[in-house]
Amino acid sequence: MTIDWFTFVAQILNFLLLVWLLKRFLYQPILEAMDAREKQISARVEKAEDAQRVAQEEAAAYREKTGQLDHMRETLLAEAAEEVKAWREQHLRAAREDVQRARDDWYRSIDREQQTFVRELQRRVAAHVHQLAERILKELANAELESQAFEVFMKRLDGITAQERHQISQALSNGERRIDVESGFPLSEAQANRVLHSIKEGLEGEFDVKFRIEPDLICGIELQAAGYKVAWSAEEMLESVEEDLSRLLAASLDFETSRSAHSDAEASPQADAEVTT
Amino acid sequence: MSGIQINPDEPIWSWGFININLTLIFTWVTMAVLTLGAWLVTRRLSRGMQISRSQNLLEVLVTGIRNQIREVSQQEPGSYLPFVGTLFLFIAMSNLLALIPGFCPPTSSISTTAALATCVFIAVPLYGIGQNGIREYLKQYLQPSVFMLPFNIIGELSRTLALAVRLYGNMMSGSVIGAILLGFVPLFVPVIMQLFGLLTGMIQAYIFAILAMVYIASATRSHSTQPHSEGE
Repeated sequence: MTIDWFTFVAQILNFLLLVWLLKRFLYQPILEAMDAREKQISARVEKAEDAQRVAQEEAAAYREKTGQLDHMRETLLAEAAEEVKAWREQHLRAAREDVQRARDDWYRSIDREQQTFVRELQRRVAAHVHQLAERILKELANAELESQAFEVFMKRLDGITAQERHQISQALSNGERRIDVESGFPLSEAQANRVLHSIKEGLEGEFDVKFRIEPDLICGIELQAAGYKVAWSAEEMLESVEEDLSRLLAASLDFETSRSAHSDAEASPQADAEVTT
Repeated sequence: MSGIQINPDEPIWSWGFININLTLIFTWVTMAVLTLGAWLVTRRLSRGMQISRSQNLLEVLVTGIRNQIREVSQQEPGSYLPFVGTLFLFIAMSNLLALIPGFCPPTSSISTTAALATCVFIAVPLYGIGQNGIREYLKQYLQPSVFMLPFNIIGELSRTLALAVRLYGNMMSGSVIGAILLGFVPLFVPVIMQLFGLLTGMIQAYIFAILAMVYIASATRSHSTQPHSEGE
């Protein structure tokens, strides 16, 4: 175990040379390559982090946009619902008005028909009563009744005031000097004379007096002179009865119509409710 | 037994004071293998993500050495890597090549181990002075008191001697025992001994490099910490 000093020095030099060689061909290139790769990895990681950050920002932006779209959709839906509600109410109102109008038209039409019917009924009932009464009176007519009718007529004729007599006289003297006396029964001579006497006493001047029988004047007698008329007849009474009867029927039917209209008005909310439903 | 060569420093060619012996020749072979291998791999280095297997091997090796240096010295391995790494690679490659029949590892020569230990002996103060300055470095020899100066100097020399003799003894004994056993039991047993020798060689390379790093680290640390540690 002796040291060869030449070998010792040579090995020191060899070792130093090997240090330089390995530094030149091993450590330096390897470390540089590793550093470069590390930088590359760092750059990639940084790039990936940037990309991730951008992606997160974009995701946040998309989330925000989605939220806005949701909000917008809800707003639009609410607006649409409001519009639909308003449209529905408007059309319901219009439908109600149409229904009301149609009902009013219908009521008016019914009223018209009812009035026509009532008038026709009134006319027929009155005519029927009139005919009935007329027939009864005709069948019951006799000398006593006719005499009584004549007396009533005479009372009316005598009851004409002096002023009226004067006016009649004036009218007769200006036109045809004719006086028509119509009766539903033949006048006796005494009755005709009483009539003539009354005309002569009451009127000034000479007149042509014509007597005529008119069957339509039931138990009646009538005097016409220059547009003036003095008369009494059962026909007159019958017409009065006919008017009263018509008035009574009309009042009764009006009451019935108003009662049915009232019941319809009470039923109409239900009809509206049905339309609304 | 005639094949056993105890001293590989015997000259096989001489010219004046220059003596070329097996130690020097196999040292150059080892240096050539290391340099050529490194050059072949690093001439086409990839700086991207895809790297070759050989480059990967070298990167693992260099990274491993750097991590060991960092762990032992608690410092960045930058300036220590060429010296400590070369120590490890040279010794490890020498011991690895010893598996080749006929190859006499340079580390089995006391001249080589002494030279390597001397390199460490010189490198320790150089790194220490470079790190802390000559004043701070020399102060370490006076720690913990002035009376410890001769003991510190003796310790410095003795640990250099220990480095040299430890490596030489292990490698020389491995070679000699292998050669002797080859004479006695030529089958199987020498193979096992060679495997033990390989293990011993790697451990010795690791120990030599780690101790060198420990000595350098103790010199480069601040003087507040205990500088000297044999670490074995």
